[in-house]
Amino acid sequence: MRTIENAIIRFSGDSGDGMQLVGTQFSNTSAAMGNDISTFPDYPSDIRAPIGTISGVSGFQVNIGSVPIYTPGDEPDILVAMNPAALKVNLDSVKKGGTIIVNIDTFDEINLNKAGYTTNPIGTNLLKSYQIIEAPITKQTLEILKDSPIDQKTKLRCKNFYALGIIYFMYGRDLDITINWLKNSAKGNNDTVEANIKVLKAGRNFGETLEAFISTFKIEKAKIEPGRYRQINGNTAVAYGLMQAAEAAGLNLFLGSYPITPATDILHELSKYKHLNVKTFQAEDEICAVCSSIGASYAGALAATTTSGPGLALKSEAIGLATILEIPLVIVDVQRGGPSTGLPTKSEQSDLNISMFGRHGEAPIVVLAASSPKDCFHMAFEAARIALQHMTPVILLTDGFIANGAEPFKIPDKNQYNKIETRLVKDKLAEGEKYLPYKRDPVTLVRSWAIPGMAGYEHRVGGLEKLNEIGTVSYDAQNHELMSELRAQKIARIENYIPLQEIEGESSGDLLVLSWGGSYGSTHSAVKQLQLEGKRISLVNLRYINPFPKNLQEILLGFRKIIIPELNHGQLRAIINAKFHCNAEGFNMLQCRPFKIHELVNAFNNHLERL
Amino acid sequence: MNQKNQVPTYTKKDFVSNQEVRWCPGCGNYSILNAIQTTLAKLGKRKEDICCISGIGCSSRSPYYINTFGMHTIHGRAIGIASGVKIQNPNLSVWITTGDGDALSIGGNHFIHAIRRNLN
Repeated sequence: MRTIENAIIRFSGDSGDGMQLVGTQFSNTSAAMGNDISTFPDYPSDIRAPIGTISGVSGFQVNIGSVPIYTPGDEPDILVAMNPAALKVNLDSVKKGGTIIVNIDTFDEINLNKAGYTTNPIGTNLLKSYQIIEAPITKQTLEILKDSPIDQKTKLRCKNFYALGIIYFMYGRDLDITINWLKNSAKGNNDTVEANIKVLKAGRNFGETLEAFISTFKIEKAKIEPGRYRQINGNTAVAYGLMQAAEAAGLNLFLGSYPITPATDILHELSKYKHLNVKTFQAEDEICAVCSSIGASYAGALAATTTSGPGLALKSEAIGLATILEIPLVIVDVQRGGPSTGLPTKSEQSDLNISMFGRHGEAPIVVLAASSPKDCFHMAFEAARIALQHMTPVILLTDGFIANGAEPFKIPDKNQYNKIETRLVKDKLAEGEKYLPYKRDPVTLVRSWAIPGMAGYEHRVGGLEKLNEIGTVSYDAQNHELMSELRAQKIARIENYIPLQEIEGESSGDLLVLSWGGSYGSTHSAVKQLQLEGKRISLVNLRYINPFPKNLQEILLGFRKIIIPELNHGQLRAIINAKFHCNAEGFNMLQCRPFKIHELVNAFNNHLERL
Repeated sequence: MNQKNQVPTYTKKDFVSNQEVRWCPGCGNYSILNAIQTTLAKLGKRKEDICCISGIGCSSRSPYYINTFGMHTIHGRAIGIASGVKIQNPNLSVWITTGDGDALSIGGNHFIHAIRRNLN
């Protein structure tokens, strides 16, 4: 048994093979055993692509380690390929010298043809760089279950646990977590539970009998801060962050949403918490979803709407209304491949432009981005805090990768998140006082918030331009210019109420890597590697994009060159270059996945060499 | 009965805002507005517990003219916004003013779903 720092494992099979399930089980077990982890579920958008085909391949990659883990890893050390299509799709990405466990029972003529193999690759030169373990997973599963009362179809569906058993053996994992999960998750169907447990153990035993041929590994516990941890993905973290903010503000949370991949899970999650004063409303479409949130906000909720690119486009007009109304509203955009329906289950960072500029008229709003699954909690809280304190819509950008990816999350101390002071007016107006809904705080330019039910504060708001302070309809040209300026200034001044930008590395040097949002795991790992090699490179990962942190310009001036890696065609780069005239260059990819660390290392090295 | 629950006696005048009504002379909207204001006075609801929401069109100007809480929104979407108001605070008496295009053309989808949901 060899002790290693980390291991990257990819489970891959047909989309009905249960790869997401066993990947999640392996991750949960590893996290419970004290490893740091990062996961990357990667699945097709087809409900069920034809069985055995390339388009039906579903994968789940996880990186586990005794060292801090920031990404799901570049190249898997171990690939589990449940059929030829899974092998074909993933072969190029497996580390040379890595191990591939194939379900050899599926390598028949039909399945090989479906995957586009004219000859069986097993035993050929194609696989000579890898250690291939031919596991008769289907046959063994059926053999073990020959006396089980469950039907043949259900028996076959147990085979993913055989593969999991092999991996559990290789990494010395404890089977009990999965066994307990099985027992608790399928109450009343003991035969199926027993069958899965039997198959899991058989897979582990298969590994044991092969011990002479396969490597086994030990990964020590990661040195992590003491505290209570749970595993969390970005969508769940957004849900909890919004709930934390509602509690901190003393308001109830309202979510108006319409299902859309990959954001729907936030609606699912929040719909469980009616007893905690969360109201969820599944609207008939994206437009009604955001409108209901605007209505709820007007009536005094912390209101949010959750969506992805196509939905954000549909919400644009209503977000413009919220902008001129100046009411708090959180819009969470879980970015996916676009334009149009694009690649619903794949990740991209291509909604920055629509978030910044996707409204008619002069309509600046706040734009934030979360950097990792667990950071979604903090940034959802921040989005709500800024929306409530500055009476503005806030767009929080996450992406499919961090929304579905999971990592350990230290459950924050209750006192870690302070009370959010809202702009709600006091209960009663002073004698003879008249309420002016658009009178502003002179420092922040934020108006106050009076909600229906508050006697004496009756007032009308609307999409028409308002008379300064008073809020009644005004077509006056000077007033419109003033109001446009006040709305813009109000957003700009939020820079005084967000943290200064942190920098990883020296505050001056040769190359500054400027990334944003969900690219953080990859850029952090790549920059760290180059820093250890002695390169004068530093990293800034932006989470506050509009407005930018106050010290950003100063940071940019400290470097000979700036490179902006993003999963789009250079949206942040255009904004940075327009605002700071700094001639930053881009490194851009649109390949439906996060950056790989080695891709970034190569790109940064190229820039360093050209200096 | 505590004071909070006592609804003051209102007259139509209590529901007239200080905004100049801008409809064409002879428009039927005047009598509709008049009827709404008269009804609100007799509703048995406190003024602050009434919320009037509208979309876009001539009739949708009406919230500006009614001295309660109110919101003039965007074309076709009054129903969505009013739904959010009502769900957030079921105690409110929520009114929607809408025209034919607003309700049945651009807002047709919201209209049928509002009927299906039957929030109040």
